[in-house]
Amino acid sequence: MIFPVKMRPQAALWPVLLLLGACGHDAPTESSSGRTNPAATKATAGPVVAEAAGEAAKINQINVFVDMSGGMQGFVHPVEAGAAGSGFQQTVTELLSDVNAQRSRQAAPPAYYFFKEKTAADPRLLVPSTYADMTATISGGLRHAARGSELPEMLREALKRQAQHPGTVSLLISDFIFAPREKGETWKIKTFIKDALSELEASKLAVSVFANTSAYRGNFYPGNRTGPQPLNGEKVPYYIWVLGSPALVAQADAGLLHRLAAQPQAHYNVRFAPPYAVPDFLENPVGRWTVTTAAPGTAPLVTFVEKPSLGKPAEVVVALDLSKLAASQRSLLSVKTLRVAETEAGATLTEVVPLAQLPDARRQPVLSKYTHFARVRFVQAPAAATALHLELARTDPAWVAGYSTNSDSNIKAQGAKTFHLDEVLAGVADYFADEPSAQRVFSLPVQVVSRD
Amino acid sequence: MFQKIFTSLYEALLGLPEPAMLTQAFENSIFPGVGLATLFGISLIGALFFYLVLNRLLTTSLYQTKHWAVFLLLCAALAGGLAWYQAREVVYQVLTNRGVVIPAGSESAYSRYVLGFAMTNALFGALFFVLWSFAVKWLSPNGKVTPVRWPS
Amino acid sequence: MAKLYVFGIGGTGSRVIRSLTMLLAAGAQVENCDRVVPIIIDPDAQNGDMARTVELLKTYERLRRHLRPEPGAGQFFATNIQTLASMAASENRPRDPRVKETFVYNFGGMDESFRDFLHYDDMPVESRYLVDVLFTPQNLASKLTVGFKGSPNVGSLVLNQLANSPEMEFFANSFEEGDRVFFISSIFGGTGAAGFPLLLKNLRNPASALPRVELLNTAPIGALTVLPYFNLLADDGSAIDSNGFITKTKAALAYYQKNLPGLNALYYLGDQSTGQLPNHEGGSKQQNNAHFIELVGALAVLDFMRQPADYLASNQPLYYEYGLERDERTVQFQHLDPGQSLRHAARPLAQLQLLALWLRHHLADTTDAPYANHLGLAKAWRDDDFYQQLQRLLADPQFGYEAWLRELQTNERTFRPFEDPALAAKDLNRVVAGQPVETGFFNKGLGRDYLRGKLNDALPKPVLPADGPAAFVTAFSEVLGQALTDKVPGFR
Repeated sequence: MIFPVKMRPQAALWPVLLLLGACGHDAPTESSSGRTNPAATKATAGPVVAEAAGEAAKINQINVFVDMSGGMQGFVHPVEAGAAGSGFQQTVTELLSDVNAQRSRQAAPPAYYFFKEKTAADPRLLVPSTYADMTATISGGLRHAARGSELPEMLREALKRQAQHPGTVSLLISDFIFAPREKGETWKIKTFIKDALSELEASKLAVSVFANTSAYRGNFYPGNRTGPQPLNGEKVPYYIWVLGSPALVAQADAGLLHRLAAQPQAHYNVRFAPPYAVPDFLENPVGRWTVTTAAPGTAPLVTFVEKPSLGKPAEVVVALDLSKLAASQRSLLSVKTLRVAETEAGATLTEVVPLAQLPDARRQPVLSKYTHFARVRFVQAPAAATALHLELARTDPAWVAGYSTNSDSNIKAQGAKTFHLDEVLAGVADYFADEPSAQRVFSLPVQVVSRD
Repeated sequence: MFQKIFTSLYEALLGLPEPAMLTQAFENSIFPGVGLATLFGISLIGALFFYLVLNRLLTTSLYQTKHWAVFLLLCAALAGGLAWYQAREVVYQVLTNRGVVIPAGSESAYSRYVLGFAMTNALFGALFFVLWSFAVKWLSPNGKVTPVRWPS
Repeated sequence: MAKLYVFGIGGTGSRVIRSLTMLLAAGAQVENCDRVVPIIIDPDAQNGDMARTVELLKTYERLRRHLRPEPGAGQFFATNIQTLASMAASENRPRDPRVKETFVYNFGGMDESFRDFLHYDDMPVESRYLVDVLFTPQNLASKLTVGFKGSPNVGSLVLNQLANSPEMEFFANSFEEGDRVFFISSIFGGTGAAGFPLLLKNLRNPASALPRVELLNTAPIGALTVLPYFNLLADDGSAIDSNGFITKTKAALAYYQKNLPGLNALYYLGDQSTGQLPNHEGGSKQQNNAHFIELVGALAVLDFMRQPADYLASNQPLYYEYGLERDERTVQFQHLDPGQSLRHAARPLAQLQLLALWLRHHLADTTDAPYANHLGLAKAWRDDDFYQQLQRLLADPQFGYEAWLRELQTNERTFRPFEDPALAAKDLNRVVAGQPVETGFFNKGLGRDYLRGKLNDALPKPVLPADGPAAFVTAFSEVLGQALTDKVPGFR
């Protein structure tokens, strides 16, 4: 029936409605009726997860790599009864627990590896481990700490496994102090990292870096290969790198790593897909247009029923839910960083306002799902059906400079900094320099068409 | 097909739905639903009732053109009422499902549009009744020249 | 096809022909013939009874001329009524210019007195004495313009000239094998009592000068003789005295006993005189209300026509009388012999009554209905000659059917076959007196809607204007006949 489920009795209409019911096969209208198909209706205004069907695949396996060089020893001392573990111990234990909890949801159970340098006695780079063994090590200390580890090799090993098993996400946990074997090669840090990443095509790879600090006790081995410096509880940075395909890394960032959402982070080629929609119920609409969404997850389609022109422009507001985005990225959002790509439709971004500044917010509770509203202005009709993309440009994270040092010989005085972190991350950025998708945080398609 | 036909019919007289946010509701649900109900549920049933029930199965004295005109007005009134009721009901449902309300600035435009829709549908109800009348009146021995002898 | 020549002699002849015309209009069947040629013989040119009968016949004839194709047996106006002259025209025979296009034999303006007619003053004195013996001085002095004022002795002399008239010659010329003749006259009047034996004698006389005399000599001839059935109010100034009716009747009967040569069938009709009519010697004031006995007289004509010719020839003369089932002062259909009168007269009359009621009370409200629309009745009813004539035939206050029926209902012995027509404005369930239609919750009987539906079924398609009258008659005949069969008890 095309008639409302909730019917108020109106005597005069009953016979007609009954008769219609008796004669009626109104199927074509039923299915397209917004009211009887709540999902479709919701989709019109509801959030859109912009993922192509193929990429909606979930994570098949999680590989966890933990650095077991001597430099990590200071984070993982045995904890006495009644005392709290170090920040590292707490964070990593929780993370490992979360990974372990997902084992039944994935095609293959999580794999755990310790990473060390190759020695004559033990030529292995990776020492396979288990969840139990690894958590025990994190809380009880390293029994056979290696002398050191090579960051590029660790990346390479992780990526090799990823290449063999698509759908794998790798978590790398380390202090990421990369000291090239030859002291004179410090300037090549960038290149070493870039080369290591080339195990996987840039378009299929994404990297997220979460930074954190933890109390460090014991000898600290500086990256510029000077003598160790004993520390007693001073904060030292460590990092969790997430490697995987762009969509999967975005999933992992939003899921496994949600506890670190507030931490400094850097993302490369991660395909964020914040929910968004084009609300058509705002006050004082400009121009005449309608919005449809054919199916959940597809781009909203804006149809101009009156072609916009210079004299009669149309303004479409895109509502964005950026709450899942890192605060650092979110704060970047402005008319300057947000842009409309592929604007054959002659669209310009005129305004970006947060929810609080939107006058409709109070009247329309639905809008509270969104954090930002971008107003796009059209002064000409799209020639044919085109898609425009609302994009946020990627910028180099500012925190990196504060976490970087050229010399960590006296880390006690330096504070929580990492040897040439800026170079390391510059290497990552370089690797993605030619990958267009890596230049933006998100890209949200909106289809535009004019009705004849 | 019906959706297209009725949408073009109504929009030809009424213009595009107001406010634009209700375009889908009108074009996908209200226009075809009300249009079909008017075409079949009101006008066809009305014509069949007049010609076949009152003037074939029964031989009542309600066969004259003036009685036919009363049915015409009845169809128009029912069609208008149905359109008004159905438009408001569907819009209410759509808005409830979406959790939104009509912006304050568009409420009067909405009221005007619904009223215009009711009047347009009243016109269609009457028009469809006339068309159905000419389609079925040959089946009615007692009403076949109501309202006119044509086309026999 | 065979014809029936009906000679209506005198006022009674006119009145019986009036009733006969009503029966024919109603569709009563005249067997063994398809045309009736009425010839009214009345020297009283201003006679009111004759005048309205002639108008009725003219209306009937005009009306029926529009019915092409002709209505079938049992339908309204099934039988053709023609004048002598128009019959000649329809058979493409040369028309005698002396024969007028009328139903009446023209005596050629007799405004002289009987004395002058006999040339009394030129007679030898012996002859005058003889004349004085046979005729009273009043007889001799009276003018002939208004007939013979109840004096057969006067009539028998004057009517003799009829035999030599061009009309009689024309009649004899048109006479064919299979045709029949029927005389209608009263036995107690002037014109009829004298004229009928005279005419009969002329037709049966082998030495007659009329053409085709051999056919006339052998043709079946019937006659109706009406005995007194009313009294006249006493009027000392009038030459007619109803007290003399019986005496005259006895004298005439005695004469008829021996002097009706070659008559095949003779119908006697009479009633105990109870009604009193105003006394008029003649002229336009002699316009008596229709009487049941005249209707029975018309039935005699039909009865005569039903008899096979050889039966009539071998059994002559046959004598007939008429009897009611019950001696009621107010006669209804149920008092008629179911095998005879009811069958031959009641059904057609009831049909005609339904037609008249429908046209008077229900047509105006159903001009939107398909049957009326298909006939174009809304306009034709006003403009078409057929419908004009039909309206006159049914509703003319002088000679129309409704007036005739009213007269029958107010006369003594009353004939009241139908209920008050005013009752039919709503429905026709009580149309036939004493035979109400059964009704129920789902059965409204003979309602307007019922008949309208049947008429719509009978006229499902538009009819060409030229075919309208015939289609109208066919449809109404069938529908009303079927309605009687289906709904009215006594007609099933």
